[in-house]
Amino acid sequence: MFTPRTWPTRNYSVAGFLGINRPVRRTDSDTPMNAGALATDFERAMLPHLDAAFNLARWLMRNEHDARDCVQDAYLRAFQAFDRFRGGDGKPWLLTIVRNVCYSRLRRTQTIEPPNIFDETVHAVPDDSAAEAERLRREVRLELLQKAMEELPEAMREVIVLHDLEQLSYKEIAAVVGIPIGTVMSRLARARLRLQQELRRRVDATEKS
Amino acid sequence: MNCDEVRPLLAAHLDGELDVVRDADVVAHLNTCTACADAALAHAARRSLIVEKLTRYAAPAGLRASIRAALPTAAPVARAPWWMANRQVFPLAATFVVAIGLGFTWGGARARRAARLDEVVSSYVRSNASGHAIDVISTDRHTVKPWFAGKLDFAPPVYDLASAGFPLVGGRVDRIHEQTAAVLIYNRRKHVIDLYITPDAGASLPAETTTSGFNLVSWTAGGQRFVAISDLAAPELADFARQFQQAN
Repeated sequence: MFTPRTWPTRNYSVAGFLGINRPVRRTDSDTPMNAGALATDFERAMLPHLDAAFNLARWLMRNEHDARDCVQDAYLRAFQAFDRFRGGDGKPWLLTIVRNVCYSRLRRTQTIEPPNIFDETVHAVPDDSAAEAERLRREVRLELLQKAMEELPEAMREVIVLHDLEQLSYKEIAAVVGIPIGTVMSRLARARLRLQQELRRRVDATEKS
Repeated sequence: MNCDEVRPLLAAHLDGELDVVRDADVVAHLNTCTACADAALAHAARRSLIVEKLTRYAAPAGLRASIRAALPTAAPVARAPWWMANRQVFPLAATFVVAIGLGFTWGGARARRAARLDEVVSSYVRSNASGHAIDVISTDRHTVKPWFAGKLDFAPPVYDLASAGFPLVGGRVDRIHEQTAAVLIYNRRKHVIDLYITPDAGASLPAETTTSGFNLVSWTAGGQRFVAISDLAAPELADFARQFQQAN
């Protein structure tokens, strides 16, 4: 979407001629109708996904303050890039930006484990029966589940959030994360299993103590 | 399908992400294989544990308002077409075009002037070298001036400057720049001065120049172009030009 741009008064000074004193960034007061209409379009398309955006950011950043900052930042970036939004479902589009903002912030403060170091043989489940899974499900303590989820690698955490909490399809997750659909499928299966293991480990630890 | 093929597809089967054909194959296998059926149940239990119990955070109060408040001031960086985005270079480009145009005009004029003077020089050299310098030999301007009358479509002024040290020795008709030119020949000691007179005064020539070791002085008067050329020193030739113009 291209909005016709209005230029400041022509500047024929030498500096203006050479483009040294570039016109200051256009503010809303220059074209109130354009910016306002654009902001309305944007709000209508993107604000309904605010909870999804915050949920993803909250799980990736693991604290509310950083998640807030990331979402705010992501919405600004999304607004500035809104002319590249090709319509359709805005949720995956917005979540891609949220995810990028979160990761760049995480990278600034810590190193992220590469996503492919998980080996199922290392994290083999002692008891992977339906009965065991069902028992855990009934007896789950929410704070232990919370902790287990936060301890998962980001790559696993994000596919669980995107699929099981935000109901994105495999295809949409593939687009958001930038991996093939087949990888989404296997990673999601491993992530659920890993979460169950982490939960079991914590349940056992609290029972012992 | 065997167990090894089915196991990786269980999650996709439970999530409803398998295509119809493969999903039917998985279902057929699960109906016959209790091990895989149990794995499927285990995965289903894990999945519902997550979906039911894992917290889905809601945006805190105030976040929506602060995002909306930030929006209108952050004007989108409009992706202008390249000719708008690069508008700053237009004046510069226009200047270059004008400058190049001026350069060609000026250079062309300069080249034409140079060609004109070169013609004068080569004419002077040729006529003196061939010994055909003078068509009408006369120190009397009343002889030279009528001699031109039938040969030119204009009337050049003819003066004898003997009193100033530049005796008139004769005249000749020559072609300079596709124009008929009257040439007056004067002497100064052993030196020869040719004064080329053409009817157009329009073309601008440098007042005093040196070409191929010859000095040239140019001026216009009465709608005619005068170019004096000689191997004389420049000050003396300038003196001759001054004398002629005064007599004019």
